[in-house]
Amino acid sequence: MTLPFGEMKVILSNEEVLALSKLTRQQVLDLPPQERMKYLYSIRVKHKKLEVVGKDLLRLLSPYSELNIFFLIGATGVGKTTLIQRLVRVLIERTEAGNSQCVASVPFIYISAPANGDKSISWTTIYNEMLRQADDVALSNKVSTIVSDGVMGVKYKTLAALRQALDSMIKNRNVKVIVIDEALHLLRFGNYSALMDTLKSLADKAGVKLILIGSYDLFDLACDYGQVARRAELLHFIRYYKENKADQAEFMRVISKLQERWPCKQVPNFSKISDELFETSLGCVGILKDLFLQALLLQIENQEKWQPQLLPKAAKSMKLLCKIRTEIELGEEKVKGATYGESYFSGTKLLDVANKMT
Amino acid sequence: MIDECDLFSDVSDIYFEADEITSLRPPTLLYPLEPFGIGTRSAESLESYILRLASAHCVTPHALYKFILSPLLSIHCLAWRNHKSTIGIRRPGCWNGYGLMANTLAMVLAEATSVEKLRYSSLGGLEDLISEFRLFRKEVVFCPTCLEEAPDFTKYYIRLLWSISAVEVCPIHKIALIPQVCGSSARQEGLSQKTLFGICSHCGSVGYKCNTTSSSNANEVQIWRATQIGELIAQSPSFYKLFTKESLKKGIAATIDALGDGYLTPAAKAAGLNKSILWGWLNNKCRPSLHLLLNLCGAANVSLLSVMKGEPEKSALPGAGILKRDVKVWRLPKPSQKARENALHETLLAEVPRSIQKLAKELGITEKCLRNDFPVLAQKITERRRQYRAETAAVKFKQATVECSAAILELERAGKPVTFRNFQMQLNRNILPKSLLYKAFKAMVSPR
Repeated sequence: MTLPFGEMKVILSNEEVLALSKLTRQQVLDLPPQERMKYLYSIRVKHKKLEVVGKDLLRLLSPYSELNIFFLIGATGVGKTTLIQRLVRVLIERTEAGNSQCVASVPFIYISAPANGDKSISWTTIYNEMLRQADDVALSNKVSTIVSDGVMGVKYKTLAALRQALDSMIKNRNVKVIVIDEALHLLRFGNYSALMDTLKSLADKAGVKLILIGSYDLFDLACDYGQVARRAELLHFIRYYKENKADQAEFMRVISKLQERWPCKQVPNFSKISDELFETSLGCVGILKDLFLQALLLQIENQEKWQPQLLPKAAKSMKLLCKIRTEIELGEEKVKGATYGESYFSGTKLLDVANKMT
Repeated sequence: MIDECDLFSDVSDIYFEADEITSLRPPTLLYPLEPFGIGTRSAESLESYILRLASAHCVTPHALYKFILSPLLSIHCLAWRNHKSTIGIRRPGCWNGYGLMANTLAMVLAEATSVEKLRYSSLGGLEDLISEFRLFRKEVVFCPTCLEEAPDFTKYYIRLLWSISAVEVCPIHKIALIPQVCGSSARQEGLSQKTLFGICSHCGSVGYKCNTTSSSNANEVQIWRATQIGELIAQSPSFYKLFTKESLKKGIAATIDALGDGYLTPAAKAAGLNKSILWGWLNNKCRPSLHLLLNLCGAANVSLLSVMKGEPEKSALPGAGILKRDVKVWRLPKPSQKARENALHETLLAEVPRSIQKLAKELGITEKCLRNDFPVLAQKITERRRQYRAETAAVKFKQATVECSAAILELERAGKPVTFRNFQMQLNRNILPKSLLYKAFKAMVSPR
């Protein structure tokens, strides 16, 4: 199979994905190799942890909640982006179904925090990106108006102008949720308080809910400022643990589901090595999926013959895996007791309270 | 916001999803701001809506026009391609009026914002009815009390009513509209000539607090006129249904009948108009201007709206009708046929017969009418008059001849040559070549 260098990043359109989803197994097997790679690439597995975090997120996004800043943190490859993709799709479907009160509403904005080489964060870039996502007009001609002592002053093309334009856009487009992915890049701005002040002001003034997605480093950002802590919540996307039997069973189910859709005639028996797969993917479904994609690529290159000898190149290298494991474990230790659900009423206290209330 | 919905309720264990997260593209290019007061007399003008739209997008009106509206307008209307000035500085009619440019602007804005009501922010629907000549004023005037009543500066807006030149006062507060004149010496940098309405473009004062012009009380006529136009604007969503050319013509004709007893001239005089203007309105030669139409309605004490609908009704407001001028002095009743015949007989028998033209004027009818009604008598009078003129001319020529002879005799006695010049000097007056004296002189001198 020749590598499609013209498409270094796979970007599947909705139409392509829809077409792939309707194929039978035989049709999938008849596809050319690149299409079969796309097929496996576009597969998502619904699993318990994903559903639980999804429900928690929906609950937190309720309009009746005063919380308006959410940190969705978890290990790399655990499924944070997959969850947000699903949230975005649901919002799109709800809006297109005409459920929105405002004709011209844009219910959510999704951006990825930029890492463009600057030493400090560029709010201009972030605001511009948010406005661009909403198709705002005349981005380079924004004007800010400030009224002071009954006199209006005007400033052209400043950060304040962009911020004012963003507030106006959020209000007029009825934006409900702003998602900032790769929020880790915001941490390059050393002054966490100032950063959180800006985010808090954006959430309060515009009345939107902010979701910041990133790794465990976001915890420092969340806990740095007491004012923010009251309005914020940390949602921890936990990975599967090998020690937990229920997690083990669920992970095995994920493996078997992916195996069922293996787009080659010769299907590797991954279910038999679920423990090893668990180990090498650290309990993260995303890392497991990456392993499967690499394995498929190797199998296709090997004239579609599966051999266990392909596994070493399919999985992550040991040192890198150790590095990731260490970071995950440190992160999990750091956020222990600080995430959604780990309140005063958890653990042994819950038993006491339950007994008292019955 | 997201309630009763599970993220994964409608997907199976294995589902497919595109990798790229794309935000939902807004269906409208611009924010769908609600225009103020549509369907009321305080309806917002299109110009004001654009100013507010620019403010909501945090751009200057010029930038909104140049980068967003102008390309869209140029596609639909060639006239917009060459239009460089912004926000009605030179041509207020093309923003608030009803021509092709204004209609195109309303259409483009309605499509860009999905606010259909914008089509009623201008006077579209009156293009076949009212003349656009001096319909709109170029400068912005406003009612200071209306401005003060707005809760904050984001609610300031220009009423369409204020843009019409025939409106001089606010019908709600009954005070004169005033132009914005900055009385402050402070200068705020960065403000463009047309920023948000209510903000002084010179000193940045919010609510035009720098304006030192005081508003005077309005008189009854001004209030009446403003109220009539306000009522008209309140019907803007129904212009096409309520008013047609025929209904307006019918209304004008009925008003003229009521005002001038069926005659154009007295109606025109009463309304302070030229008769030819009314004639032009009735015969589709020109469209009535709002200003003059109000004069007519005011003189007849009928409401503008009822005239435009074709069924004039008395205006319920005081002050109407005071525009009517007194025309009793020159208006004469039409004489009967018998009276006309008697007058003709008198003229025929008179020693000095009058001309048919003069007689008709005295009777208050036209010469043609008189000749048509009594052709024989008129012919006799014409011949009688010709005869009389001939006799009179002969008598006058004889008198001139006598005078001329006397003058020539005097010249001969004085030993002066008998030339026309000496003749004039003798008589001590200038004699025109066509006069009887000249003819008599020529007749007497020529045989010599």
